[in-house]
Amino acid sequence: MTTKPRMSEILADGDPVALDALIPQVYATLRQLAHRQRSYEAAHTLQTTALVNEACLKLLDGSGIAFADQAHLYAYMSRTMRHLLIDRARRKMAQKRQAPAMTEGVAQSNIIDVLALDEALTKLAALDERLARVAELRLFAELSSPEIADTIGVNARTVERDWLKARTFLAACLAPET
Amino acid sequence: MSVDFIQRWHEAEPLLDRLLELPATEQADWLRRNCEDAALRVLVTQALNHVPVAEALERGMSQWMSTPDRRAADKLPTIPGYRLLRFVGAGGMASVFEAERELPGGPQKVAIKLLRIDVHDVEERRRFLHEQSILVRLQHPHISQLLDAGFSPTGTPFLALEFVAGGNLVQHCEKYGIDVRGRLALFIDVSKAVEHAHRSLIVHRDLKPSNVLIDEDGCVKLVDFGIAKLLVGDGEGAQTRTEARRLTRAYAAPEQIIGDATTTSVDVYALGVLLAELLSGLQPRRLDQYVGAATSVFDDGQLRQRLGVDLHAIVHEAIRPDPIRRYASAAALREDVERYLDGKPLHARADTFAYRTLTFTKRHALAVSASMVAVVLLAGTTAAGLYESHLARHAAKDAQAQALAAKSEVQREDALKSFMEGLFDNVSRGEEASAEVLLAQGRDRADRDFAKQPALHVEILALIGDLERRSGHADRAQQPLEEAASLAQTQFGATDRRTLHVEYLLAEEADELGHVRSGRLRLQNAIEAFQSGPNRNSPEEVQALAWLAGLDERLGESKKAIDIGTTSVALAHRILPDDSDALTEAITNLGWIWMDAGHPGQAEPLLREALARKRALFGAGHPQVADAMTLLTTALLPLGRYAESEVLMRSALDIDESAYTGPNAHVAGDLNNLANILVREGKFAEAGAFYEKSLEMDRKLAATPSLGEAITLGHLAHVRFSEGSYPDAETDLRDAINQKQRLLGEDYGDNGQSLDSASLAEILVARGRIGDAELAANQALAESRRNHREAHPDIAFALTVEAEIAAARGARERAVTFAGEAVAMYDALAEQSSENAIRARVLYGETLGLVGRSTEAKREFKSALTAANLIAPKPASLIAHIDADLAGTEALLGDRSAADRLRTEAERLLAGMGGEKNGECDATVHILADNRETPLNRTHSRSSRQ
Repeated sequence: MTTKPRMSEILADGDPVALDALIPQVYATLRQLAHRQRSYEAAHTLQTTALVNEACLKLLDGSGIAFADQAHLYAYMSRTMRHLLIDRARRKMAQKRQAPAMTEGVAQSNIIDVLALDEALTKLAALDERLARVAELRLFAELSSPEIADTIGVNARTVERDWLKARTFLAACLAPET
Repeated sequence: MSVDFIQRWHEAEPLLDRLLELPATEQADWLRRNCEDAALRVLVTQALNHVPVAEALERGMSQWMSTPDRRAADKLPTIPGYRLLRFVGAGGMASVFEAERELPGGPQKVAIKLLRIDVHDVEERRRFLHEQSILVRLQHPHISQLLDAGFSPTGTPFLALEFVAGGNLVQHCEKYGIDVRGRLALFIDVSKAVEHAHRSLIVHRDLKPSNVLIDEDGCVKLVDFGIAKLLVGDGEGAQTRTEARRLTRAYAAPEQIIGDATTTSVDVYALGVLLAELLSGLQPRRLDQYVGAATSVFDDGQLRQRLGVDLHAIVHEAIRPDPIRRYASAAALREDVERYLDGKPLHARADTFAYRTLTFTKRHALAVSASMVAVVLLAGTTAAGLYESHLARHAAKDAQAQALAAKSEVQREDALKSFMEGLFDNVSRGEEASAEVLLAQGRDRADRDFAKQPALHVEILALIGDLERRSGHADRAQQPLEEAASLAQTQFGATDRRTLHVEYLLAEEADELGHVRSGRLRLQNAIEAFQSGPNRNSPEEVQALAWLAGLDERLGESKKAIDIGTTSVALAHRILPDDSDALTEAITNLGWIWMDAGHPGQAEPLLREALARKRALFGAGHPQVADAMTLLTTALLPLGRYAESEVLMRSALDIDESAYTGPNAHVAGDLNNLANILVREGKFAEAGAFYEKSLEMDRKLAATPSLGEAITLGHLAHVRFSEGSYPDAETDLRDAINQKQRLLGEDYGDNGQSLDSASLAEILVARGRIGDAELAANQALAESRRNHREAHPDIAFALTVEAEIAAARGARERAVTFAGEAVAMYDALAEQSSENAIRARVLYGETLGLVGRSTEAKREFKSALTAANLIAPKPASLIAHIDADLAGTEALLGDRSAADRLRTEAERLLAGMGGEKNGECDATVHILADNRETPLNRTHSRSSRQ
């Protein structure tokens, strides 16, 4: 992640040759997010390389792509990961509909349902855009509070508070109804 | 449910802003008092209680990246040299498989751990292998052995460990219903394994139930030793942050969470949490990384209830937020557990962090110089009157016994004398020996010279410990005192007077180190054991009882403290000669207790008697006399006797300045106390100067900010507040609070935290920050109520501030209620004449005026005025303030002439105040101006504390 500032300069310039050279770096960045998948290569429905490639494609999709700064890149990264996870979840749902018996027992209670989370985040964004952004950066880009603070231009303490509030909101939406 | 919550989000959000800054244990209380809408309260409470979901959200991406698919057993990863059999489970850092290792003698069952990190870099790989080569050497019956490590074909690092079939420690104990002793025995094994690793300088870093397994034979096996470090290296910056995220937060020590260097102390912390969970069944909880690093992961009250005092004390000592104040090692923790199992009294750890509290222990401190050690010891009498053997001689019935006692007394003195002379010969060649060197040498020689004379050995050890404590090294006092105690216990038994005396010295020392609870328990046990024997009614018992009472008072058990203290004084009068030291101490002590419990009227005669006795015993210029004067002023101040207090305090300062040379804690304390008095007299400028002097001295005394400095800063904040410089007041007080928090940690609660919070609230009200003020005031009220079972001035003061806030918010009825409660509490304490009480009454009058109850308001103002006029010298600004209030009320009630007279009086007082900055004068001018315009709309209800 330390090469980021340089990367963003290149992105801002939009030089096609530099952008080519950038691809491996972006790949590595997303790889870090995705590397945990490795241990489960065999066990997983979505291959690591496929996941990463897909992310890269989305990331570099279109010609107009240009990140003014690191903040935009982070935002894009988190959004991309969010969409990837949603895609995957939807695909799983489709599988389930086709062969319900086979997928039984896969869902684990201590794992957040991505689709429900997406819905909750959308609700939160409607109420408070900033809280939703903080949550997205934290959940999907795994950024630290200072990093998020830099990205959205408030101080780290505010980010912490925002996150706790967002977490409370999301937890209320996601908790099993009693 | 969630729909309702979403709909009311904009109402819930401001509440969450506050709630999330409070410890979880205080949230419910706060909400009850600040949200009157029950439905909303329920929604917010429920939202905050979805702990499992919140924890899952904290895990972030990892939960979606690592879903193991159990159906895919045929697609297990391949590791050369191993045959993976099945997936066992996954944690935050790795997934575990059961596997077989091909060995010449046949397959060996192992656990394979695939770590969830990538290691591609050559340097990284080398480090990983180096780390694991250290771990391979770690061998212990209770540690699962690391057998091998390497990289899978895809570059994922793996570890091969001894396979342990069985559940974790906590589950195991639940499943088989193992009793407390059984659980402790298993815990001791866990500690021993950790100790062993620590000896090889390997820190586990991630101890938690799932890493403490029980094998088929019921034997403890620790897994994952040092793996946290393998994963992140030594950890700086981003890496440490990664570690913090990967760790199981509830078991991680605060310094791990904030990313400080990790030492063996983090394992001690985790062992403490584990022990608590094992014994109480309570789950540690830590969710919020910003708010909570230093707050406890347990509800302390609940924990104490489930564990009982002893085990709670052990856990408490292990999980202190400040690593320096924890048990020094896993071994020390284990030894305390073993002591508990053996029914022995617990050790308080040798704490390197000593602090002086304002009054109670300070007066026992002496500056010990080398020459003083010499004088005291060579005289053959011991500083604390250890085992007053001359009394024993008097008590001996027949002449022969008397002669024997006298003879042994002479022998004892001779032995001590030659010991000390030898000591001086040894150390004082060349330059002058310092007290420190002398005591250290004495320590060594005592063990050698008196190995065969236990009585003398105990005496000299106790003496050295006591002198260490008095010279400001309570930490170093511990070891000799502990040794003296166990020696006395074995040689003389629990019913011997010498044993009790050493226990008393230990309790003094525990008090000074802030180990109030454990110290109290130990002393009580010692007293009970002593009282069951034949030596009842001896001077040692008086001393011990007096100190026990003091410890009770420090724990907020005022009623008990007063009972025991009274008993000790009565006993002292009955059995001790009138000029006895112990009698004077018992009286002083009881006086202090009455004063601290908020009954200055009761305290005053006792403290005055103590002063007279000390003058007679030591002479007028002795530092002990200065201490007695200081103590007396603390009772005189709430009685409004400022002028007399000032005279006393100036004398105390004179005595101490001539008794001690160079910067020292005594003079610093005196300057501080004198300034406190001057503040009450409205002499702010002079007070400020004394505070500055005191601060300067404190800074010279300690390289790092000390508690004394923090206390003075707090007082300085009060001066700024009284002058009306509110921003400065806030800055100073916040500095003071932060310093105290850092220096005292959890013990801040027992040392004036609520008063500081209330003062902060008052400043914030004056600055118009009502919301923040309310938060601080609520904290103050909750804290003071927790600390004091009965009515107490701290609670009354917090109530006064609450009333001010309610008034500022326009919640007039609430303000009346709070102010009324405060006044009633001061009345119950018989403290109506203290300045705080008068100000509470003035505020009560003002709030009554706000709701139109003018007749009652008038009554309160009048009695406030009467009380204020009893203060000597007369507090001009306060009286002017009350006059102005009363003038407004009289005008409302139609008595024009009385109103005019009071207004003139107020103006005359204000004019006579001179140029000193004074916030109250400004406020009074406002009240007068308001009265002239619209007598109904008075809102300036500013009063100041003390």
